[in-house]
Amino acid sequence: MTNKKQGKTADRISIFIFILLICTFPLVSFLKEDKDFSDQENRILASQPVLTAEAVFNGSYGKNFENYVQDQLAGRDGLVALKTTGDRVIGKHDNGSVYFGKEGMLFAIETIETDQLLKNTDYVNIFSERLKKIYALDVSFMVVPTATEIEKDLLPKNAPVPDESAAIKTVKENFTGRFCDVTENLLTHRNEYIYYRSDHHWTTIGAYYAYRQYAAEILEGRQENTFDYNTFLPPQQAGYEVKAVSSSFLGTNDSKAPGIGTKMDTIFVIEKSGEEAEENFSMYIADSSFTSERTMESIYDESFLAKKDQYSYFLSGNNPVTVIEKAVDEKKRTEETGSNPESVKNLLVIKDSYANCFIPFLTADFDRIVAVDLRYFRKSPDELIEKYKITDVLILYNILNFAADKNLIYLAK
Amino acid sequence: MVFSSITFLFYFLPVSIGAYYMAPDRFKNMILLVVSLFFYAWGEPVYILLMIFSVLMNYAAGILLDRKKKGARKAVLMGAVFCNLLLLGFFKYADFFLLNFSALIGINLKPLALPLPIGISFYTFQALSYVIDLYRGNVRPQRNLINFAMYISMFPQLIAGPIVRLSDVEDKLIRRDCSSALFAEGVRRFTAGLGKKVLLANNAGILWDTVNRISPDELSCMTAWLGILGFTFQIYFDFSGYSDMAIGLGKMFGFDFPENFRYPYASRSVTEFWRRWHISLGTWFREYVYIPLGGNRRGSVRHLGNILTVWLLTGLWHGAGMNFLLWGFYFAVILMAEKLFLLKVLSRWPKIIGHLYTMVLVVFSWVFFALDSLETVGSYLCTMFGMSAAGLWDGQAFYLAGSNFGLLLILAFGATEFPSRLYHKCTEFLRAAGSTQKEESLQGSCRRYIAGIIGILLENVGLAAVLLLSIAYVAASTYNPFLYFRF
Repeated sequence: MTNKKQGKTADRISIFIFILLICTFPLVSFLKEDKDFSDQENRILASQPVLTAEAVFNGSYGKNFENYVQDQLAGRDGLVALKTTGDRVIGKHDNGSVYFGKEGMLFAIETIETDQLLKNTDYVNIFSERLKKIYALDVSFMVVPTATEIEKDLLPKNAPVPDESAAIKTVKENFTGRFCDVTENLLTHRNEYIYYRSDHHWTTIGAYYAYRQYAAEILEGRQENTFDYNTFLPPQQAGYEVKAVSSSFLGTNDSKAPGIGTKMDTIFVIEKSGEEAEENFSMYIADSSFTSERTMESIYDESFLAKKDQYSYFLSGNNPVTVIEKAVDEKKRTEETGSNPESVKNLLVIKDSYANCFIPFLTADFDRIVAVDLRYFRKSPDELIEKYKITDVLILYNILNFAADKNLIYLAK
Repeated sequence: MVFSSITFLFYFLPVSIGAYYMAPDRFKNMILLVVSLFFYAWGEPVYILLMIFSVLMNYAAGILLDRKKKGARKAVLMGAVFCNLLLLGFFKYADFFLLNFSALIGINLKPLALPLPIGISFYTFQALSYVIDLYRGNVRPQRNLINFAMYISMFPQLIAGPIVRLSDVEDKLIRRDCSSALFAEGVRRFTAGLGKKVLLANNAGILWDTVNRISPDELSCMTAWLGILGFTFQIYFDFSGYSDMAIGLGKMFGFDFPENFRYPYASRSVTEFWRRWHISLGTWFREYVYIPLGGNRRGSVRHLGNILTVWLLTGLWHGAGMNFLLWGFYFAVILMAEKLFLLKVLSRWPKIIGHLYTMVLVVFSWVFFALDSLETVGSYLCTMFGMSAAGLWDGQAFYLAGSNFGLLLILAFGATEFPSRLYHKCTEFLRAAGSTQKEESLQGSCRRYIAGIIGILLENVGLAAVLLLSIAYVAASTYNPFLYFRF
């Protein structure tokens, strides 16, 4: 008797659990307000589709409805985090998007396509030779390895990763201009905090070491291998002030493994201490046709510190054209340039987001910096050379972006 | 709409169950028909016409078969079989024939590139079984159009089987009892199937996809084995998980569908494997092709020819491609060899040899199944035999083995009968723990009561955990971070 009764109770509980789960999720999803944007995923979420006869018959209503209920599912972030936990419990070393590295380090899973890499190197060569011929400009080129190469020890054992060093070597050998190879330098300093744990970028400290090498090799013209990378002292000991602006940064790699529980990263600003730091810079941000422009008082955009995408604090993120100038009044500038045009140095940077935290260091050496992101500029940057009286050119990418970017062809146009 | 989607789990299913149980008994079939047609129309609304045509055509054939005299009955049957095969042939195989025909005579015909109507292979076979069974007098004609349409289009088994013959559900079409015991059984079965599909099959699929992305001649031998092992588990848990969900859903609506999988990877011969794998399809081919052709009763040459015919057709049924034909042929050869002598040999050897022999052959068969170009199949097989520039193993092989070690253990364990036996042993044990003494001492009845409660708790905590985790994996599959720029 008891067993029968208990069997019935067991059945009822099972049915209750099932019905509860399949009804609660849609009900709560329906009652809660729809979200327009997911910070976690950095994308606009699907909104409720409009019901029309046409959309129903061609099947698009069904598809849109599916996207809508998926995107607006109640507790979605929590469920996705639960999935990450499941992956970890079962002992997986990656989730298809990132490797779960040691010491809480996450590595994006990427590949390098040699064909595109060689093509892009050719485009850079064409660009560099043209600039030399037409404007007598020297192009210097820096391709930066990512954490996958430098922090190899922290990868899961045997994790298949592209050989970034070999790829950088290929670029270096094929490039006809001045190449600044920071791989050894970053390896020397790999025990310092030079890459974010939760993001695919290098930290400002990583950029600082690369800048020191750039200054020595390109700006001062010293030969590579004539100096020991250990002589680049940490910024605090080299007359720089290191200031933490955020200690709550969770970047793109964390977004790819939500719920993994990465320790939050710290974002630093590194500036020359003393008088030089007093100088102010203004920053114009424009689209590729210069129809919409905005001016900012600083090269740092505080507003991003309150958002998910905190790395965009540097240069206000990726924009088609960014012009950074010393904040002197126009009259003074004309006088200066008029009296001594030789001393004015204007730099053009063709770049990806790795340059965003590197460029602030360059403000010490240049009067004007014009940064172009070809992914959004999408045409030849030649017009900018005359417009901004460019005297120096730097191309700066991380190796993965450089190997994958399909927009470098604009350099050859 | 697939079962493992947010739309199905959280919108279609609760609404269907709600409508079904709120409706009075005489409307229940109507409700099931309406939701099934809606389900079918979801992805490709136009194909609903195809479904309706198929239903009406087979319904009419059924009515005609009942009335006509003997000679005319045969004509009606032939007509119905022809129409059904024509539909299947046109929508599933047109491009395959066009492509091979034009290659054969050297002209260039443009493929139709029609999207495949979901479940057409399943419901056409179901309809065929109906008209043939009716002709043979094994079932009674369905005069109620709603009941018949519901039988053909019923959503639980519509897209991935099992192929339900009318005799399996004939009584249930008219009257079925929905008890909480049956519904709960359905819930458990559905949850088990969902877990198999979402937690096991999809994860095994990730392993296969990782390997399949790389060209086979760049793989090391060990990586190739790991990859195809991933596919071996993916296809089993995917397919059998789907059948479990179908059977579970059937129970929730009061039906008892036939079993479709019985631990095929625990077989000791390929013959046995095919008695345990996709049972409803095997039965179909046996009943409607193999036996009508004479089976094994017309001499051994005819017998082998029949095996070959059935397996080439079985191969083609799985997909319109040369690789599927080859896959069928591969099994035909093995089955013939087993019929002729291998089964006798195997029965003399230790069990473990039979298991190993079967598994190795089955794993190899999936290479034909998973890769659609014959060239890739060839070089993948070469790599599996160690003939690859990348050698016997490499770092990637060790990485994949390390990263998937836990998963592979669970998959191997889950493919045996062991988990199910363990479950039954546990429930039995808990039951026995209580009901030993006849003279009810207070202690005894307390023990029984507590054991029962522990059983209920364990079972339902497990159920909730599998369900919630499956939901998490379904939700996460739609998680799609966009990382660079917001336009």
